[in-house]
Amino acid sequence: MLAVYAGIGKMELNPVRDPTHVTADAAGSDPAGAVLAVDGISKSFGPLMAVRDLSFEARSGEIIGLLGPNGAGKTTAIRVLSTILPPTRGRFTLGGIPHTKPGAIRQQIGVLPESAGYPLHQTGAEFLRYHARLFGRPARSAREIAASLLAEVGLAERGSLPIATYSRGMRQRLGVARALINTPSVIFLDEPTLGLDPAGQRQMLALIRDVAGQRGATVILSTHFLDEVEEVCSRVIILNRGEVIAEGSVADIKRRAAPRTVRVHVPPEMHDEALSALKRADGVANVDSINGERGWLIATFDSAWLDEHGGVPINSAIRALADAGVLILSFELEGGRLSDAFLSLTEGGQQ
Amino acid sequence: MRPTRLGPAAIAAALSIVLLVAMVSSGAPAFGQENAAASDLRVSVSKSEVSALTGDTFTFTSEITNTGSEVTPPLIANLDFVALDQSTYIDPEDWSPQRTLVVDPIAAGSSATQSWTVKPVLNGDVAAYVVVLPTSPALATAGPLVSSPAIYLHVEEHRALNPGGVLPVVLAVPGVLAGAFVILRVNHGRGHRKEPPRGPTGLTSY
Amino acid sequence: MTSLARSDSRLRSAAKAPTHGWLVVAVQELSDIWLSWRGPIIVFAFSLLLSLLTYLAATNKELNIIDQRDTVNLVVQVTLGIGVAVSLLFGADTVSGERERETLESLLLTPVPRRQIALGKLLAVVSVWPVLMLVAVPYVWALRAGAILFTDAVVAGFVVGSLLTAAFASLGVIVSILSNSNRLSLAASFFVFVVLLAPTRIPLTGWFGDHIARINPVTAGSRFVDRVIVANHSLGQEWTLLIAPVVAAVIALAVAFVAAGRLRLQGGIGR
Repeated sequence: MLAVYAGIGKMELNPVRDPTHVTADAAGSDPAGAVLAVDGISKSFGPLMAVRDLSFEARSGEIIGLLGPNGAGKTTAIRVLSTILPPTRGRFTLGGIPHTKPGAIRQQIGVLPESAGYPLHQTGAEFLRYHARLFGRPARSAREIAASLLAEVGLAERGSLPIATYSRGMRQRLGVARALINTPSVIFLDEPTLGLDPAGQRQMLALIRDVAGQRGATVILSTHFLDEVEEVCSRVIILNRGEVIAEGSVADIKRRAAPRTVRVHVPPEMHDEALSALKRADGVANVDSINGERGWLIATFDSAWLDEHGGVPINSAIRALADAGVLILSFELEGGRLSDAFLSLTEGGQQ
Repeated sequence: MRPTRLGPAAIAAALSIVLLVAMVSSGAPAFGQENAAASDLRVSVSKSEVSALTGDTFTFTSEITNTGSEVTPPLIANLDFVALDQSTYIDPEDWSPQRTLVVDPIAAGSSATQSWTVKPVLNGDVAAYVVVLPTSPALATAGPLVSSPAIYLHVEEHRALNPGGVLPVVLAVPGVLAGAFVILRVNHGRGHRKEPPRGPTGLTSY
Repeated sequence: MTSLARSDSRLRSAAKAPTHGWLVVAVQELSDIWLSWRGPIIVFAFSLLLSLLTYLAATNKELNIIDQRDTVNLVVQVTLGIGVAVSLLFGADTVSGERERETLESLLLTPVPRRQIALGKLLAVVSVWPVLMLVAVPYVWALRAGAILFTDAVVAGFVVGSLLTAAFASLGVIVSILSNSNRLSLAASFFVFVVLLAPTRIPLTGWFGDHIARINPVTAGSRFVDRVIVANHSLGQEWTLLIAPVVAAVIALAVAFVAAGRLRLQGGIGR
């Protein structure tokens, strides 16, 4: 059970049902098991409120996607939670350590910043050794850790070469290795696949899955790429203009943008029968021809009926057409993707 | 009987006599009278022409002779240099440690000798000469300064490859530093290349 | 991908702040300065400059154009000026440069306290000075006029240079912490240095000039070296001229200590 908090402009400790807020299935929350507990975190820069009332909890091994358009506050949120920036309001604990002890928190976290730079004259191994030493490892141990992490992220052959010779993808992988240097319990990855080619993105996502699955670390993944979230994240938090506008499992978020229309292609001579059948189908609010072409129809379902009946209109429409003896040449649902939900939610927030 | 008036000539003669007596008694030189002491001095030098390299040292002497009948007052002998090409500035302090020498009063008919050390520091043609001056205006008598004949110096540049013995240091320090840093860089780079890519041997144990 | 054991609490607790984080930072920064091109290039260029100066000075000395003490003083003063300037510029780059290169965030994400990070960087920056002074020693030896002059010259130069380096390196670090732009940091630091260095080029005489010379740590230090080497005063005879450099070093280090505690990802203090 995940405790979910939503607030717009105010701190609230109890779940609030907001029409735009999607919550996970409530099976009972257990705050005691949360690795990261965030309570009403806000961060302002002068008059600009970059993050407002961010609240959520994360458990061990979870991969939580932090979504939002540019300027939504994702990077600021990560910087606050990784103690780079102090919060303006609110509090959080990580591994039971309050945010007022940033040094202790940094021992527990690993971070891949969005704009991570690297000392180009250092080798990858030297860079990792240095950071291992900064996390209190003795010199010999630091050397072993660096070698192991380089192998883990696929940079074993390039560890002795200057970072200046690394490609963008290699540097991202080096950054992930650096984030793992202290076996963190929580890892923040800010746009880890930015600038990578599709193959690099795949490798990075596999690495992230490995990190969470095999190390048991909690991963907070900030990204623009919605298919990445669908692929690896168990939960999603959507930010817009510094506020949480949706939070829940990926399925819950997708359900928010459940398909409300179906596009049907039938033989032109069966156009009228199909039109009548769809109009008679349960939950259908409206049926139209597509661009006036015979044989092409679009049916829009009633939102309330969808919410009541689980949000999947396919059965009703197919049954109606089958009962009418109409031959279905193609049948397509519109909506039901995370990107649809994302756009719907963020555009709704911008209105 | 009419009173006698003095003529202009008589008045002028009387005034001249009065003026002459006043000037003589004050010690001021009479107009047109030559400086007897100055005209009685003669200055000679032991060299007339010298060829040298920059940095070489040579010496010469000057001799001041009192040909008069009176002892001279205390004198100053001053050594000066002039560049004959007129475009080079000569700083006398750089050329000789002895700018001026004090000469004790010279008896009538006697001479005094001064020794001078010169180290040319610039190449070119230079004239050196010694000028003799009284030590104070009170003792001076009117007349031109007495100077020696000029000594003509032909100075050529001497290129010292190792001035003051600093050349070994000047060359060695940058050389040693360059070598040291090259060795350091090579060793550092070699150390990086020798790092074997290790497998995850110790990952589960830390 | 390699299979890894799940981390347990024992392994997780192994990560901690290093006991001497400043030392770890200092060692890495020293490596960055001396094993890359920055430090060696500067030292080598400095040695070439001193070689040229020494050769010319020796030539002039041989021609009696310049006194031997003046030649030694010239070498020590040039060493002071360059050593302090380089320390200042390195200090000015140390934080704002990392900001611009976007490597500061990774450093701030470690458990090393901010002050220890700044201390480690400062120690690396001031390492340039003793190296430059060491390079100057053979040149002073070559130009010396006796062992006493050599010893006094080296001691006077090292003492003054150490004090001024501590002051200006700290100043550079302070400006670097405050500045978001590396260019601004370097320009501001160098401007302050030039303003303090300028009076050494003009005669400071009279009551006012003498006090200015004593208050300004650069002119006071320069005058101290000058009087020890050229005027042949003892080191203790001119100790009052060391007051300004000592005060400058203490104040600069104290302000740097305060500023370091507020080291942030963005420039400024307390943002």
